[in-house]
Amino acid sequence: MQPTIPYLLFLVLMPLVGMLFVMAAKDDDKTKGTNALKVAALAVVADLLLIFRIFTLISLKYGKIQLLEVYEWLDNPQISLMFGVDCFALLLMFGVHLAVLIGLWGVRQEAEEQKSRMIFTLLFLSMMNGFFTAVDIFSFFIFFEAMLLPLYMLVGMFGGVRRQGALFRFMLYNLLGALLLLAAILVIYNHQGSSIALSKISSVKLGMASEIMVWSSIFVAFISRIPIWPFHYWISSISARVKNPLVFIIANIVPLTGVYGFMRFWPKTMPDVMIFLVAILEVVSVLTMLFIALIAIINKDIQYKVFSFMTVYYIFYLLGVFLPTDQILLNVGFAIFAFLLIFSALEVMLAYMNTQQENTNMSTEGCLQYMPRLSAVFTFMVLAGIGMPLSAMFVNNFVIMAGLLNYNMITAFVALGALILVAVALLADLYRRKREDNIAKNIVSVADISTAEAVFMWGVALVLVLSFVNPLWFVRG
Amino acid sequence: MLAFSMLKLLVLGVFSEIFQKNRLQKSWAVVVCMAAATVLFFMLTPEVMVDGKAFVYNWIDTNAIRVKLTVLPSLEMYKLGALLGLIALAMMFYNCFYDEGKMRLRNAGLYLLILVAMLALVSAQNMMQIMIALCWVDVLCFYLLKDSWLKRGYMFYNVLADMLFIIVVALIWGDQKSLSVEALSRYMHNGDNKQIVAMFWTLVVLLKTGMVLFHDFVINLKKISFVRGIYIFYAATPMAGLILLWKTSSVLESVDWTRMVIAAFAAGSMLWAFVGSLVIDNIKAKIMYWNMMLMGLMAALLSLSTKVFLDFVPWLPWCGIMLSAVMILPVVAASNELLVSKMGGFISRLKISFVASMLLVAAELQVILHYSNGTGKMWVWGFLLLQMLSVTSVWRQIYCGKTKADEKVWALLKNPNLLYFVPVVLFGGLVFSYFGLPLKNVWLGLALVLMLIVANPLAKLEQIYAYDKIQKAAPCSFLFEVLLVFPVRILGRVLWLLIDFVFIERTIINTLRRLMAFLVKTVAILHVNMFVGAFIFTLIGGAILIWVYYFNGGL
Repeated sequence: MQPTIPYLLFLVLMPLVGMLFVMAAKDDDKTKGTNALKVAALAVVADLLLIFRIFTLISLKYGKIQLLEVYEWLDNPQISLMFGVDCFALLLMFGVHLAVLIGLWGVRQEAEEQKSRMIFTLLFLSMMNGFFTAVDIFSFFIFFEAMLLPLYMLVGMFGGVRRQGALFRFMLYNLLGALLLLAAILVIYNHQGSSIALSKISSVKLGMASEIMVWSSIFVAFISRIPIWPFHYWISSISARVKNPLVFIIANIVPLTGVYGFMRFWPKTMPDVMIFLVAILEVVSVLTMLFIALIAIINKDIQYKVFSFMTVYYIFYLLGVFLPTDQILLNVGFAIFAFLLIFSALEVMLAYMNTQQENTNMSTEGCLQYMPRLSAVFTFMVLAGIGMPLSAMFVNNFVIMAGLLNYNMITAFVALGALILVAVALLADLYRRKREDNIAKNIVSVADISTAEAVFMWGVALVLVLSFVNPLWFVRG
Repeated sequence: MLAFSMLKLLVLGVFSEIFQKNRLQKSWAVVVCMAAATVLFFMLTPEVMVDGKAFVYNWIDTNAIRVKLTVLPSLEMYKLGALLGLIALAMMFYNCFYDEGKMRLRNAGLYLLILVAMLALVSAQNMMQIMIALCWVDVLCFYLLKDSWLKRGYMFYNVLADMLFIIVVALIWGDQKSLSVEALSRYMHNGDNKQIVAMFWTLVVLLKTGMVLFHDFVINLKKISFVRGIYIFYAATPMAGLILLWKTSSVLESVDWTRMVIAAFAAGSMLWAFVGSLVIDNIKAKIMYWNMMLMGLMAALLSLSTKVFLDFVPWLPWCGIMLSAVMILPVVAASNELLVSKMGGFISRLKISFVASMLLVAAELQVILHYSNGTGKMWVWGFLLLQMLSVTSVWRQIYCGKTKADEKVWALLKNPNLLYFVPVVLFGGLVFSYFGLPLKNVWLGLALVLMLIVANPLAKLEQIYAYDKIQKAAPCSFLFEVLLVFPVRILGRVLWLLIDFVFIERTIINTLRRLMAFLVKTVAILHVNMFVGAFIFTLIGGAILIWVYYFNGGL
């Protein structure tokens, strides 16, 4: 039965409405983009409130799709947009919204092209909401691809001087993934004669050749989104070039769609044809983790280190998704929620440090010595990021790790090695920024974060601590 | 209730962290210290710590994992709680007067938060609580340490240990589906990978207790203020490692070689610390070496028997702290001069300090001789011999002979104020009231110590202080750099160049780029060159017609 209030449609439309308001917002030398920013922030907060409301309406179990909404689109071919959520999807949406909100906070001082940035951010958020709420293959495909448009525009506008290369790789990999997913969906549609729910895909019986073609295509389509070798190159390329924190955050949310795609499509009882693919994926995944973590150790660019941190953890969560049990999927969701918040906060703080460094010609070494407030909260985020018991990542990473160890000990050990290396890389950068020797004495104009900024960042830290105590604290009080 | 008292300490700690005041720092720190003393006064009683009500909180209860947090009063809790609580209180007291001005309140808050985490560790009944408590101690210590290089070493060793411990617990939980400490014991009897678990567990214990080869972060505590350094050593991480060893000692009973490995590392630590305390000039480094020696003894005793460890526990760390306190007396007296090579002949001006040192020796001998006939007596005697040989040689260098002190230092040389002597006198009084007046052997020991101070041949090793290379040498750091960091860096760089640049960028991306350029060029030629274009399009059209005719059954 369709719910009386179409919450999920509202969830998708809210950012679009916000986008229209942003388009109409006054943007001149006087306002310097603040109107657009405020409207965008308001739209995100409104969406967050809606997410809270939906949390109170649904059962908190993984996989139970609720609040189903169907909107007919085309008669021939028969295509409808179908929306529905479970706790897992809603939790990820909550995390994505908070991450974007943190990103908005990070760009609030930037006046240049603020309006465009807000427009595409809200468009991206709308498409993400559609993606997480889509429950049939066509809706899923539409939003899966549509979210690339705002990202393309954002990277094109804020991708730095060498953005052409990044955009080329971005298009190359994502186009390949899109075409393959479209082909797989067309084969399934052709076989069924209509669109089909995501949960039913694994029960579709195809011929051997079609099955190989469909599952390989789906496999490559999702993997092209996750920075698994050799597909890691587009996102590493973007991450290294994009200096704007909001765009960086948005770009690095995209791999989440690959993980989520695998989670929704991939059946727990595998057809024989897929066992081979999963074995390949497992090997390539852990090697990529190790490879990226090793590069993080030697690379001095903090953007690359954050990218490595994200990649290693995305792949770790992907391995969790592939475990032959549904019991820990909600744990993966809890961990990803905290992970999104941590990397967003880190990125925003790093952007702040970069600005201060550019303004004062300050070196990276010891820069946090000038900013004690920022130093305290940055340290907290790094420690939470490396897996200390300060956020939901701790317990839930432990559960995933235990699952991996039970499933395949060698895979688990290599994955853990990568997690340790990436933790060392992040800590090494933290020391570099905190060391008290070699700091210049004559730098006086470095500004620490303001009280309001410190309160905001510690607020994020508080949310993380609450997520450690109880990941669904906001639902159960 | 014990849990409620811990909550009060937690609130007090959080309060101190949040409401850091720049003005009236000392007054605020005194207020917090008094409040903590009040809470601890009512908490550290047998009624609360032994016979009090247990607290159990059902923290996580899902299909995937169940965790209960517990605060369980017991005799062990009383002993260790009293030790940790009193150390925290003593250090908070000294923090009010002798730590950095702007950080007094913040440090006091951190001491309290670390105390709560350590109490949670002591009372833990499941491994999740142990993991969380261990990690929280590390995080809080990270904030308490202010030297970046020290932070680096401290965090590296401890994060590695934490992650290895997570693997241990994950392996056990995956097999037993229980996080209780008993599950570890069960697993160590019949678990599939008990050798791997034992190996990681041993490594965790060695890393956490700062045994030899993993001791860099312990010795580097010399770089921070004395109060903070001693607090971290005896009430935070190395001590947390010892408590972990005690809580999970069932591994020792099930896998024989673990006991041998820990004993070997303990012996190695004592010997290394002995050598280090003789050849390094900096007195704070010497203090940390002596503490490391004591940590080696405690780990060795614990590997033999948990009972003997728990008997010793309330006293041994205090012996270490008090030895550190009397060794710092000449430093304070000599205007914070840290190098022993710039002391000498101090006895003429520091008689009270010397007497305090002898009082401590008597008290320590009284404690150690009391327990020296039980299990592990060889360890105790070995420790005593090494420690006294080393300490007396340093005392000889400081108090006897001709002075090498700077003229200004010598002119200002006088006994520190009364507050420095209070803990030693209190400790001596407590020991003699608890164990009775000095035993005959104590007087004998004291006489031997005095003889050693007068004529200790090891004191001649002071010539080594002149060798700069030895003073600055960090062999373990060097080994760690050469064997671990360097290969990792090389591997990372090679992979980066080979895979990212050569394979992906130069091979795949370039090939695709050229392929695309070729396609674009071909299409361009087709459109620009009318004759070739018409010919090729005609050919393509013909091919389509043939394909449709032959393979799709006609037009």
